[in-house]
Amino acid sequence: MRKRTMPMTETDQPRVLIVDDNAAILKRAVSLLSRACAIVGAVSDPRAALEAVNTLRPDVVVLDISMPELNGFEVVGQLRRSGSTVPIVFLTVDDDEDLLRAAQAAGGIGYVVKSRIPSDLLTAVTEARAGRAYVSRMG
Amino acid sequence: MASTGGRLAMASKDRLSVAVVVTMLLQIGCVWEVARRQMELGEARHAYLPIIVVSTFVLTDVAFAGALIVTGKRRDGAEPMEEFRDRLMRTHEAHRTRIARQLHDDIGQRVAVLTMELDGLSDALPPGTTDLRTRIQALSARTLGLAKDIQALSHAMHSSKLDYLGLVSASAALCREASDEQHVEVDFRSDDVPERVPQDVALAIFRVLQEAVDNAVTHADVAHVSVALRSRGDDIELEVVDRGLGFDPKAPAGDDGLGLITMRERVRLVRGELVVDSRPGGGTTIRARVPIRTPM
Repeated sequence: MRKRTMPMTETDQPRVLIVDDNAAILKRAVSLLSRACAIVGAVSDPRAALEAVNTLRPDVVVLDISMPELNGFEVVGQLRRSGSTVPIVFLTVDDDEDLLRAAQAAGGIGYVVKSRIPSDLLTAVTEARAGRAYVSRMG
Repeated sequence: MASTGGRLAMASKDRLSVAVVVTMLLQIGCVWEVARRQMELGEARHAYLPIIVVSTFVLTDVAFAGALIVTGKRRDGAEPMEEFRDRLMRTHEAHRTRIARQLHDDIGQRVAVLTMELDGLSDALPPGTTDLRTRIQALSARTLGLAKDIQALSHAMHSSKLDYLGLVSASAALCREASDEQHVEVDFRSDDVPERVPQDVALAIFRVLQEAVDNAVTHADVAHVSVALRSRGDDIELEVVDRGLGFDPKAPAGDDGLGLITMRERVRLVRGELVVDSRPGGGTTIRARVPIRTPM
């Protein structure tokens, strides 16, 4: 497990937990979101994410779908069963309508395609915190 | 059950072989003891006799054991071959899954990062560099296209949709994609298929669907293909029908026939059966029926 806790800010920035087993994507997402968010955790192990949601109490979780052992949909399933209602922004390399529908059915409010992280991720997180959906442009 | 029978047959053959070896050792031991006593009694000149007896026994036993192994191999030949085919098929599937995941989770993500970096580079360019910006954006678009191709290849090798969406939704998506890409209408219906289907059963049916739809849109020369997935008691039945060119299923299998063999093997692996009904000019119906509860 790789886990990093950032110092809290006193601003109204959204507190974000980022979960992705790909180190390059995790680094990129942290670097991008830390300009406007408080990154409360960045973990590569989906099981650690379950614990981190309970202990770090993020406003939004940015969650990769394709991870070994426990995929993003399974993580959300476990979170919802444990009573967590934290908004989820799914991250995926798949620019795919079927997967988008599955992500929405699983309880995600945001869906960001990884190649569009620079333009979409911050907006998706901000919208998710406000309770609004955001989906990367497909095609 | 067949593989259990095979293991039992192999086990009984092994027991017989062990019995032959033990008998051989006892014979050698007895005859050696006789020779030793003869030597103690000063009859060393006759000691060669036990050696001849031992040699005769050993040769007889070796011939018997050899015959046992040869006939045993012939008798059990079908079982090891079936196990070998099963193992081959499972290994092949495991390799496909591993390569697909590597493409999706590693190479695909690296290309995604590359796209991001190109976009970042384009954004960081100073004003007055329009031409360079345009060229970098074109590179980014090409990289994005590469990412999509990698994603499509990964899905063709092992559909993550099957893992995430389940058999019915993944099958519907496959038919929709085939319609879009091949300009053939692939109509999909499902009826009462359980939400949770064992993974090996779902994968076998999905692979048959992939192959059957691919065959139909590639070879049948049709504008429409019908796919139905339904429950039949404790079984799941997949039916792929086209009214196209058809073929003679009894004709010797060439390269194109390999697909049919693979479909049969996949279905057999999960204790199901595959029926291919086709004739030249009369269209093709492929029907796979697989029990949901696979016997252990």
